[in-house]
Amino acid sequence: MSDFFLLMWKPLVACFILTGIHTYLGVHVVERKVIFVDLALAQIAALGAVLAFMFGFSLHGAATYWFSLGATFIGAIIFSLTRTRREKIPQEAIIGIVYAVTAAAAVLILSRAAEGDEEIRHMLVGNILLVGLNEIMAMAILYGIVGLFHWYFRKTFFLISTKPEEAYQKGIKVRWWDSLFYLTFGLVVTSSVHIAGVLIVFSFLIIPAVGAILFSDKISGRLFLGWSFGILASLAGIGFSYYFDLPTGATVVCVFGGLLILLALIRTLLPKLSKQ
Amino acid sequence: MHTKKAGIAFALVLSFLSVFSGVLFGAEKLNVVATTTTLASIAKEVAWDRIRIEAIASPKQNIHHYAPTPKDVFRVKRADVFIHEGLDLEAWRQPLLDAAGNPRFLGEGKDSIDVSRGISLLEIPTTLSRAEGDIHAFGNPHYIGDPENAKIIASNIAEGLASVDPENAAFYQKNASDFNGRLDAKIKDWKARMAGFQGIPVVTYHRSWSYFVNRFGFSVIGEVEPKPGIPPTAKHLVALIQQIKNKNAKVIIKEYFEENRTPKKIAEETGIRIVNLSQAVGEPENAKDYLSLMEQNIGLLEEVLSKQKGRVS
Repeated sequence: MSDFFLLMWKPLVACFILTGIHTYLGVHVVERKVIFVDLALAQIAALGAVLAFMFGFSLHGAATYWFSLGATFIGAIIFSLTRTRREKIPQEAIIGIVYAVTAAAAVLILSRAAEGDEEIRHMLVGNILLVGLNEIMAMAILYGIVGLFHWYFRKTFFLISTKPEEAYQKGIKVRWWDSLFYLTFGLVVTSSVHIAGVLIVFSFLIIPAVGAILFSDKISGRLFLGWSFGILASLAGIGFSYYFDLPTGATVVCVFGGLLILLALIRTLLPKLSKQ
Repeated sequence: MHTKKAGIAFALVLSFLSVFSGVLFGAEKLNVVATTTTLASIAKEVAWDRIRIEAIASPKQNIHHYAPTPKDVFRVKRADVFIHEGLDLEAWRQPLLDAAGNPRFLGEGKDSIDVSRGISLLEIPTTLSRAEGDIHAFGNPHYIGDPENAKIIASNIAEGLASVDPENAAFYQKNASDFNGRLDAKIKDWKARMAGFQGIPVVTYHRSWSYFVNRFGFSVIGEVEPKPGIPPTAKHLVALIQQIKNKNAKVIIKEYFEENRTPKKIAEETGIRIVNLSQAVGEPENAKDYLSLMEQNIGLLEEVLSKQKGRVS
């Protein structure tokens, strides 16, 4: 057991930090029905990295990170502008288009570079097992700041996510707050994908939030349940990965999915369990 | 009578003690971790049962892109000696060492053995750009394909183990030179068998056979990959097929883990033969050590090339 913590404490702490911020953002994202927005943003970030690489920067250097971040911010602005009040084209369509085109563009550019396929795979799976202490510290500080910012303006952020119509009527500048939401969201996703890969980030964002929605309608209840789900699933996933010597990132994602199925079963088998 | 019984009892006690001490000393064996199965095999030749050796990367995958598991981190954390192929062969090496945090291999840590020391490298790039393919900044890292280099590797391992475990230094040195002697005899045999194929035109999949073909005197007329690590493109294939026809190339040398579709397509167009060779002990499974691995490679080539030689082109 002590070996387990000795060896796995860094991936474990990284998973806890990811749970903290992503479950919160996930509750927003599910409420806004823009489930795939993080995949699209992650893909834009990847395209930014590939562009930096085209200009001769190393694929994992600081310059590349800023390129990704810049690209993500442009994406964030696109997504906040395309969320209109009476939408004719669903926003999910725009998200899908952005995802497909940026992914294809990245493949085009990387086809000219060595080990392009490997880089694309790395972006998907990441390597949470080998996460460094510096990366954990940077994540903790950055997500702490983003978290505080969101906590301070929590009423507005939740109002524009859950009841945008009411927000418009109250005279809140919804576009402006949407931009702020997507900018902070893009900042978090770019940094997380850099460390943990697209699949883990997507799972941490959506799965705990969906699991929580099965059992609670209140924001606070969903957050609490989502965080518990994320911490439990991270522990179990990293434990499985350790005891059965499996690739850590993929194991964690599968455990998240498995736990969600379990929760859904419990929900159906206990229909009397009324929603709070 | 009594003395005989006492003698038997004494012998029993002695044998028990020797077994027991074996167990005790066994616990003091050096824990050695090697990045590849081939290195582990050579280390075993050098140290026999005086070390406990484990390899990290599976022989069935491209060595550049292995993804370490928790057990690998654990092994490196607990290891006394870390043996690696140096240069940028194992792209995952430094992150793994950082994650394991074993001070013996970090920064000033002296207990890792870089077996590439003293090897004359091929294809050292003059300019560094990923546009030219695989960034092997220090030169081609697939030097283990040349058996002459295996001798240098064995000596490097012996020297490295000796500095960690000076008590057994003479033992390691002697085994390394034994191994090198056996290798010398085999190299002579292999060269003799390949002598009839000097200058024969071949195609390789990845530039991982440069050292091998140099040693045995083949001439590489092209690669299936347009640039190292870049998947084949249509235009490149057309040119390669023309090249194979013009120069009458005999064989495509590829590794097991490399895809088969493109080589097969080229073979259909040109009649060239495909041969799967390996630089990883354990792939195929009956390649149990470095010598049998190379023996298989030479045997396969001999078979294919002698058939091709008889073919009227």
